[in-house]
Amino acid sequence: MTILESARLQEEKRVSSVELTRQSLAAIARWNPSFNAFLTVMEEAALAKARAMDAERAAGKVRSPLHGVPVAVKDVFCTKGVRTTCGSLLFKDHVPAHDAAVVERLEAAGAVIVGKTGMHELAYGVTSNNPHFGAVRNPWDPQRIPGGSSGGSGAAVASGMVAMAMGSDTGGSIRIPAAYCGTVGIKPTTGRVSRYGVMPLDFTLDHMGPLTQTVRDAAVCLQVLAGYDPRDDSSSREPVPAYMPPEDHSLAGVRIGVPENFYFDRVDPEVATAVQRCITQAQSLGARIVAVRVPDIAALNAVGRVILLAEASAALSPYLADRSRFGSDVLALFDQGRLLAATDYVNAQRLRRIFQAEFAKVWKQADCLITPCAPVVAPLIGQTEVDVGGGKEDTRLASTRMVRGINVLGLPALAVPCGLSSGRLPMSAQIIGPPFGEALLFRAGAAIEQPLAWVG
Amino acid sequence: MAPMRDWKLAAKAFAPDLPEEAALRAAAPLDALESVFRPLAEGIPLETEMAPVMLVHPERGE
Repeated sequence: MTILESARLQEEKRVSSVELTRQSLAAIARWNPSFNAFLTVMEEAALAKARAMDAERAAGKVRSPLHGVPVAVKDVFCTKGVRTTCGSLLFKDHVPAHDAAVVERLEAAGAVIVGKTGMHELAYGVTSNNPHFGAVRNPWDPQRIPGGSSGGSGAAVASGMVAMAMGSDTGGSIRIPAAYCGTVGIKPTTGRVSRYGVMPLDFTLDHMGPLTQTVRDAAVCLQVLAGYDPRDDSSSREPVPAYMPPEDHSLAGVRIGVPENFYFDRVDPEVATAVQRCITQAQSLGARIVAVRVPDIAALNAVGRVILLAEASAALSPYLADRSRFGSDVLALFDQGRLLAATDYVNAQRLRRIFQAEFAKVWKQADCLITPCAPVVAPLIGQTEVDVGGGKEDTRLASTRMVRGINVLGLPALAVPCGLSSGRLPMSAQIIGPPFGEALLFRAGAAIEQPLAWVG
Repeated sequence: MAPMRDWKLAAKAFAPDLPEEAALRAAAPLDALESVFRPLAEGIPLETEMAPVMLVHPERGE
């Protein structure tokens, strides 16, 4: 059930928050042994909050569309008095004394947090195959990865355990699980959603956003989550507009850019066809399709990798002396980061400025871009290479190459389901916009999305 | 253009505590990254500053 359906049924007194929460907890009990989406379930606290939300509603107070709706947060968000592991042995017993800003905002909006979702160790990877807490599995095929690092959030939303789960995205970690699990996921503009109280991976690339079943639900959530927070140095004072897209799905007057270079070069033909269908649909709804050339995205991705390797190794350096506490894939990335020279990092940040200026020119030709979100469908657990474009490619590099550069630029990007492959696995389009262009992304996304009905 | 960096040597010099196997494992992806990143870095105009901005008055966001 979506957030908006849950809100409507509560408004019509056909269901209470306590009933919704019990349904969510029952779904977690039914499916979590199969998918390992949740690390912590907060049953008692959730039912208490649900009872309070029912009492408020009975008294005529409704805080937001999230009032009384069960949701989840990735285990990277600090939760006061509730274990927050970041998917790591380093923090397996860490109980924060405060809530993340995102948690504060969800609580204030009346959402009922039912638990903490599993993730790739330290949010540093795309598989969510966690050596300490077990592999998170894709509900569409449990032998496959859900993507990552917010894999538990993707699996929880796709399987209907919750209508929304929060993710974090440093190089695609919201959009990759959204793509592989068939959900919506929004990585907002840098500074749009506070990073306060989130365990950091990379100080200049981390972004926070929701994974949902529909684009309209994502708009509802960002409305609650967006806004200035003085506790986050990167937080923006840019006013927050209304995000809910119009009902009519018209895209009249919207220029949608389709990149001529990079984004369609090495893509599974089924994925390319599905994204092309989205573009055709957008055109039929009034959008003007414009062919555009984008800056060198492979180079942009290289810049992003240098920044991430350096910043992540710097942040976690105090813990790296004891190598036994890390999974081998994450440890290899930290080792790479330790070797980079300071001049490499500085130059990567200088190149970032050059790419930001180059990419800004794209918005003179188009209002947003549509690309594939991932070039392939969800790989198998343990699969280190994927077949794409007539060759083999490292699973991590393939999964991140459509999405990583957008974090370097700080732009908003929306992952939207666009159908099932012949193997019944989700495929996804990515809509990229100019800074603070989330409202247009929701408008375009609502017009082209193909919500997927997962049946357990 | 500056020569490409030898990451295996870098591992020995800057992270002597790294086990040899880990150093080799770290060097391979950096070699691949080097071929893309080094030419880019060499071409940065002199006056280009870093992307992050230092705030003089962080409390005012300025």
